[in-house]
Amino acid sequence: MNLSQAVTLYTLAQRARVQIALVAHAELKSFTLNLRTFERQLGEEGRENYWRPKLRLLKGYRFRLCSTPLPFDEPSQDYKKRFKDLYQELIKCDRIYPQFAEQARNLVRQAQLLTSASGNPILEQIHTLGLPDKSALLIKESRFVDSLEILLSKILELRHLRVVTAPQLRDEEVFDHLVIVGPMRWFPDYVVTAPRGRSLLIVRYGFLGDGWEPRVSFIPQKNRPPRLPIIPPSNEPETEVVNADELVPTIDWDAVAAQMSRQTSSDQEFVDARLFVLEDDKAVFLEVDASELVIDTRSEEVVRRVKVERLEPGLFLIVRERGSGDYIVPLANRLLGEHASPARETQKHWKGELRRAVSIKGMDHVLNGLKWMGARSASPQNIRNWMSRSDRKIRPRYAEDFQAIMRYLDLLDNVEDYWKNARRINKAHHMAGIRMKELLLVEVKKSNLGRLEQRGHQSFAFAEYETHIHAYRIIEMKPSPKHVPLSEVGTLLEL
Amino acid sequence: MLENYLYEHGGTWQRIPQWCNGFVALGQTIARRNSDDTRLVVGLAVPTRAYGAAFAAAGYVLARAELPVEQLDCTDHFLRLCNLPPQTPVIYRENDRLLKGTIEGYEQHYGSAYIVVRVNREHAKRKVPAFLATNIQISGKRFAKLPKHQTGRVVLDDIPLLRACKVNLAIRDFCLYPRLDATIIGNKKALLDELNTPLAARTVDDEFCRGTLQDILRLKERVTDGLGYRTSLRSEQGGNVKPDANETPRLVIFDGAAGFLKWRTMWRESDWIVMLDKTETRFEEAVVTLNQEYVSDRLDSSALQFPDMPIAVDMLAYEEKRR
Repeated sequence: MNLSQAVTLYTLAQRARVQIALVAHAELKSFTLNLRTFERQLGEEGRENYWRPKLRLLKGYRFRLCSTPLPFDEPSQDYKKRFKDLYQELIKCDRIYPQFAEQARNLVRQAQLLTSASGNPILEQIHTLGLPDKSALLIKESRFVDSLEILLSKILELRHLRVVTAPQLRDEEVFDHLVIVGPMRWFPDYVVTAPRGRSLLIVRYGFLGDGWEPRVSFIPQKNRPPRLPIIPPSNEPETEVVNADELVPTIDWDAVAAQMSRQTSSDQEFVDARLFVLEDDKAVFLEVDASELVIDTRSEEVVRRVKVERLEPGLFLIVRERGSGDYIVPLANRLLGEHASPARETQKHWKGELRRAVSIKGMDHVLNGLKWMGARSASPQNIRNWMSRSDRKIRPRYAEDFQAIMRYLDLLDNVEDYWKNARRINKAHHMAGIRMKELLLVEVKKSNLGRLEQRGHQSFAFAEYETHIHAYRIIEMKPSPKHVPLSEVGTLLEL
Repeated sequence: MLENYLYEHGGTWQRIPQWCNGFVALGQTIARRNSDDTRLVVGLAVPTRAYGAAFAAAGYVLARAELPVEQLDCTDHFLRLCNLPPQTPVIYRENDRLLKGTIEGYEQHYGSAYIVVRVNREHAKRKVPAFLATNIQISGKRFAKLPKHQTGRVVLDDIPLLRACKVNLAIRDFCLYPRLDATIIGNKKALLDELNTPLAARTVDDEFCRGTLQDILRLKERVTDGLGYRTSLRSEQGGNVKPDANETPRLVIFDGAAGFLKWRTMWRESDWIVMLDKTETRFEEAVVTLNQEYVSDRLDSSALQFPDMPIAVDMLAYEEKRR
């Protein structure tokens, strides 16, 4: 950023003004309130497996309507069909939840009526503003950027509007008019406190209560800055108001965990991992003591490796597609060439033998045995790492530990070969990590990082290595680690 | 202090804006505060982190520049040099030139001691008496080998841009004698770009001078070895951003939430400016952390006076016991 750009940003922060425009829509308001009432009536039962996905669908649709200026009948999410299916499911509801069945079906009928309506009240309001060239629409959800851009491109008077998401408003680009779609509470404070628009216009439904205040500020401010002038809406606020926060879909951590537990089997290896929620309704478990490759668009080192404990929202995490495991392995195998297969086989062999010894004799017995054989780093955790199926846990750090393992497993004749292979794999993984970082850096330099910020995710293909990876923005992470099957670590989950 | 400074905007020179001078004045105020028992912590929440740390550091350095650099004691320095192992790289200032050299040892002639500095591969040596020992600076760099011949690098002891600032400073001393006033911890690339921003000013003699913020900050990492520096720069992502035991800066500027959250447990001997960009991902976490430090560590007795900051800047300031 140059000094002229910084001057502009300070000027905006001192002079920008905020206007509010309220939009009314009786049917949407009714659906919103009825859904809230229904959810309250369900109470704890709403968390049960029967209701959870149903509520999620209805609430997702409600949030989409309130947060994005797309027509109610916009087909991309296939809501029409999904509500039809939901209604069919609810026909049997009388037998399970007779007290909620009729109400639930009424709600779905209301949703179906909305999906048949062609209206787009927010965009109609924006249409009336006659926004000049350098204007943008700020929307909450990245995943609707494409649909909205397509829609705007078809409307002559609106095709000049840019569609942006909040992370893009950290850059130096500024707009004459920035239209914030939805209540301010849905956006980070900096949208208003460090504005990137000369004029900010909040367009939201009148039945959504906002009451925005900055989330944090210094306790005693030496110079408390005056708030940006906020011009209230000209129309009367609506009487029955829903708190805007209630509409934002929350992450159901238990549901994700439940999804995980359905996939486990008794002989699986478990590790401690943290769950990360990513853009586009994805999630991933990452092992707590690992490090991951990220894209950090605001850092001097754009592509870098970060320990899992230091990952934070806003970084773009590099992951492979579901079920395809670690992205380093194919690259490492390519580097290993003809050695790949035999080296992996020897790894499997000694690790399998160690696992077998632990399962037959027990951890304590193996631990004592390894210590007796001279393994100075032997501990239950290290033994778990040594026998792990994880591609990232290749070998003990010290040769004497490895020798002790070989001696204990009666594989001493192979010790040199096995150690050489383990070191070879280790080196190949290390080189593959470096190569992947280089490849990614080249791709990142070629790509439009603004686009990545806008959409929250991007794919990168490395044909030479038959590898396809994705960068997803981290939205949130579960604070405490969980014991999860190793096979699920690093693979993308659908929320 | 820098009110008459100009920056390039759209092909013309414009006065630097008021908010930049606000940061300069803040740096100046902190520099002139005098307390050995307490240290000052100033938190700033800004619409963009750009240029805030650089101008605050400029104000601090210029205010401190009015104080003479504590000169090394010739005898102490001479003894220190005598104790260095042979081949230690040094920079030897001979008249107005800087020569690379290595310590050869010391000699005695007719009752006087001399440090012997070798200045080229042809065995040219300089015998430096104790009273000129301060002309020898230990180099931070290792020379692969000395040049075959060297005429030395001319010492620039004038910075035109500094003549235009409203500070009473000895520019020659400022150029020649090092002293670490401030360390900035942040995004190194962004900060270096900011320090290279072209600036200009008219001196009292109506001379139009050009320069950059680096002329004021005299960043150690960018100053010719052996010359005076005033600030240093550490990357917030560095593996080891610990203070140097021999050279603790009086002021540390955390330019961004990441550096503050990562390195705040160190640098507790220095005053702090914590510059937090409201758009940073970890802004809220950093504000909460700073608020906690305020609640637990502040001294109630302080009566601090600060310059007016720009409207868009939120500020927190408190004193705590120096540790």
